[in-house]
Amino acid sequence: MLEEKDARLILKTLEEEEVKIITFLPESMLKPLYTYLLESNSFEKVIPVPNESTGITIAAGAWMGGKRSVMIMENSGLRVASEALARLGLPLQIPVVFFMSYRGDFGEENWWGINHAVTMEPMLKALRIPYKVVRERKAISSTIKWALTHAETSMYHTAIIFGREILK
Amino acid sequence: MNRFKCMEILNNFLAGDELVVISLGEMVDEWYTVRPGDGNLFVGALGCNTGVAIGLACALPHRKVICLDSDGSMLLDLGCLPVLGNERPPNLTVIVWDNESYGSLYTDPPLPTSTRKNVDLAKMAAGAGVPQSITVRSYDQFEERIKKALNHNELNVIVVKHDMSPPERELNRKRTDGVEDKFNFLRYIERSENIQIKGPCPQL
Repeated sequence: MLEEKDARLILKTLEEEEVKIITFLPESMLKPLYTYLLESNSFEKVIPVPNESTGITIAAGAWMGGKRSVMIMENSGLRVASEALARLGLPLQIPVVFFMSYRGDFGEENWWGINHAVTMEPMLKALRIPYKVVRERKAISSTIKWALTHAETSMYHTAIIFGREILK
Repeated sequence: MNRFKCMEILNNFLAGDELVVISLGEMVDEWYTVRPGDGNLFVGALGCNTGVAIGLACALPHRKVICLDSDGSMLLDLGCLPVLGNERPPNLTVIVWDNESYGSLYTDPPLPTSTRKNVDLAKMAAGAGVPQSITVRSYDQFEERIKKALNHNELNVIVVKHDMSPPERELNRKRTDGVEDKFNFLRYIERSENIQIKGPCPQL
């Protein structure tokens, strides 16, 4: 699970990068981050969603309204979100930045988690989404900053996946 | 009811600066004919429109946002209903054009969506937490509800039961594609809000 100090670092970086609207579907590996987000007053809107696709569409609409936005979920959610990512990304080029926990990363203990890793990277590649797997604490802030910048430069989605080393 | 005629009624009550998010299918050219302009975001997708409209409404709470969605599209992303019910963006009106059919397939008879039988999208929205959620079945009812939605600062979901009759006049064809539509809308937001969303690159 994500350590509380790393959850605070992610939150601080999102504030510094002027992210205003955050959508998320909570899961176990980034748990402290979701709790902090709901407690935070630093964002204009923090919106829990019941479906990852919904979270992606809301983040896209927020960006079109001039507000930086991020969607946060488990990597299993990529499968649910893929239709919205394709629809909004490929023909319209509306960028969405999304963070995922890397369930099924090398060393996974749960049999039900392996499949999330099996599909994640091939799906990101099929959707032509640039991504970085963050494996060191010192890379968290810079990777978030670059993901936001790269999405706006390329007018396409970017993804950050928090790997096993971060989710100790 | 005829959808195009309903759109003309809707447009009669717009001030001009409303942001309108449009779904896919025949409604695109119908709305483009009724109300062309850069204040329209033609998403050209099913199952994405109400979510995009929620995000837009949350980002610009001082602007009126109207979502033109359809029964087939809404059914594809029912996850937006609980978000509508919990967030209740007061500046958002969601209009669901419900012909109980996948009309753009042009079959005769039209192939049914789930609303042809027992599914009631207005009741689903109400159950998800949207107090102002209603199904309208006449022009008078539609007009009354539109006026109420536009004059009050409260989330509205209006499910409009309409038939498959064609528009009474010839439609203008929208020639722009998705990227062009996106940029037209984005630059309109920048102009009308005096903000920068997609600025120049730092190096020439």
